[in-house]
Amino acid sequence: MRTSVVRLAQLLCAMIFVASSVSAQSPIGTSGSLGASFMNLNTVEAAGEQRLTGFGIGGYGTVSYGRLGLGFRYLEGSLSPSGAGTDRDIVEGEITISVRASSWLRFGLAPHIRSLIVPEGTERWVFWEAHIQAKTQLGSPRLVSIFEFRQVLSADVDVDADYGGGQGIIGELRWDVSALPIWLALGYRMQRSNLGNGSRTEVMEHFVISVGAGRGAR
Amino acid sequence: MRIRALLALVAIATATSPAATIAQTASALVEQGIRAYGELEFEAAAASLRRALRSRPGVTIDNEDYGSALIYLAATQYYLGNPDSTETLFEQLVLFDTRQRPDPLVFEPGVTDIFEAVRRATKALTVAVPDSTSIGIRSPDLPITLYASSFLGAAVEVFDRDSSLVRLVYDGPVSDSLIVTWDGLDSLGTRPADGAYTLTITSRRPGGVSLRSTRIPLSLLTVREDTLEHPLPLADSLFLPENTGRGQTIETLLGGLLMGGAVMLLPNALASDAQLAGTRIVVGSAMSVAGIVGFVARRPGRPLPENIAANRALQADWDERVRDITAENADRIANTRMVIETGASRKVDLRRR
Repeated sequence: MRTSVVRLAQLLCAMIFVASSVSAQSPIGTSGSLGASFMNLNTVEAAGEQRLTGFGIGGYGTVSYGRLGLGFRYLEGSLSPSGAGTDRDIVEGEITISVRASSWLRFGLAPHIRSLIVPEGTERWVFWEAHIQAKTQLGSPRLVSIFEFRQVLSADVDVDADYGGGQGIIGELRWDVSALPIWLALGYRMQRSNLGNGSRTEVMEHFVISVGAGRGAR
Repeated sequence: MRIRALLALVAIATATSPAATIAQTASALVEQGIRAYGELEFEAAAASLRRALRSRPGVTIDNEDYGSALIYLAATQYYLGNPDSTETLFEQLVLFDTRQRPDPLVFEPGVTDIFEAVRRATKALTVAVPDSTSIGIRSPDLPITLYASSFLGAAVEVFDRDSSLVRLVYDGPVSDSLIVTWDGLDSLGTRPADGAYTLTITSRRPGGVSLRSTRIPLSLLTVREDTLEHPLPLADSLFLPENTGRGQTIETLLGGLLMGGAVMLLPNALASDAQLAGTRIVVGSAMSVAGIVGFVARRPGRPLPENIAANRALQADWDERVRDITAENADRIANTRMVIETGASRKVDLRRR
């Protein structure tokens, strides 16, 4: 995990360099952020509820050209059960393709992979999600609030049950540091997934504190 | 290869044109005459030089060659014992161009003395003007250079097509050489209309009797640079609102409260059966509070310093562009030039009239 953190930090530095190199007048925008994620995974089954909490480090990068946007997200961390049980490593990755419909509204599609690693093997979730994102300034262009709703269109899970459906939300409060292409953000991300006929429900929550840099593609 | 062949043809055609051929022939005759003079073959020299002098100066013979032919022919006549001819030829030389004279290092004092006597007795004036002059800020005047054979009076005048006097440029004595200038204006200090004019230089004896007149056609053309258009006034739509509007502040409040509320409440609605973390309350509350603070801080009617600064910068930029264009246009108007083209001069002997 330490190697991954170093790699992510290097990626963020590269993004800051690229972002500062790209002129503000250019139609191409780039941005990148590095964040600490406090995670909470609830698994509700007929047998009972299991709760895992943990910490992860992740990065998020975007490239935009005009109204089109391309985003990449990666996170690594580990989860520990609140009671008895084994720890799990978690890896999440996502590619987002989006279109800006107006200054405050964006639509997109995202293949999203979540892997939970235990000594017995890896449980991999592959989601295909559609999302709608709204953004508003809170009294100043430097303080922005973002809300996103996600609907899972289809999913593939390598457990012995069919995928039943899922939704998610993302909320973020972002503050641009004056005179620098850097921002600080506070975010919350939640995703609920059902398996089979409701026999199992997974709720994944992230509380993210991040720092980012970039121009024109936030 | 084709280009070289074409250039060669052009060169041949130029060299073999009638005027060029005659000019070459006349110059060759002058050279031949000077060579014969050097070999003391005065009869042969005189024959060649007389033939050369049948050419038209400035057209079929170079002016300098024509003057040389007159000088050498006058000298041959001196050695052949025809001093009257020498005087006549020197008089022709003075009337032709007062700047040309026999070199005392080449000709003996007997020849130069006759020339000096003739020069003093012959009141003549040679005029030099540039072929083309542009009168503007950088070159404000048309220079007219007068070369006098000896002390005389001269009047330099500009006439229009109807022979009406446009401007008396100079009226006074000329002892050796004198440069007078015409500023391109008429007697009233205004620019005359574009068109054809005549520059007339009249020489006079010191007593006032007119002797000869040199007339040079002038073509006047005013050249103006186009001025730049002023930029259109800035449209109101380009300016940002300088005070917070009701719509903006409501958007801030609702945006913060709705999004914050959605972050706090939607997870419960989506996953009512799960035990959710309290972090959503932290983020949702922060969004809601930021919306309320933004609403209070930017309530309707409060000035927006960023927008005020942006509007001032926009207006200042426009003002600067207008100032630049005004200055540039003033330069262009001040730089209006008058182009004066001069034609071939014509000499008129006023004594024969």
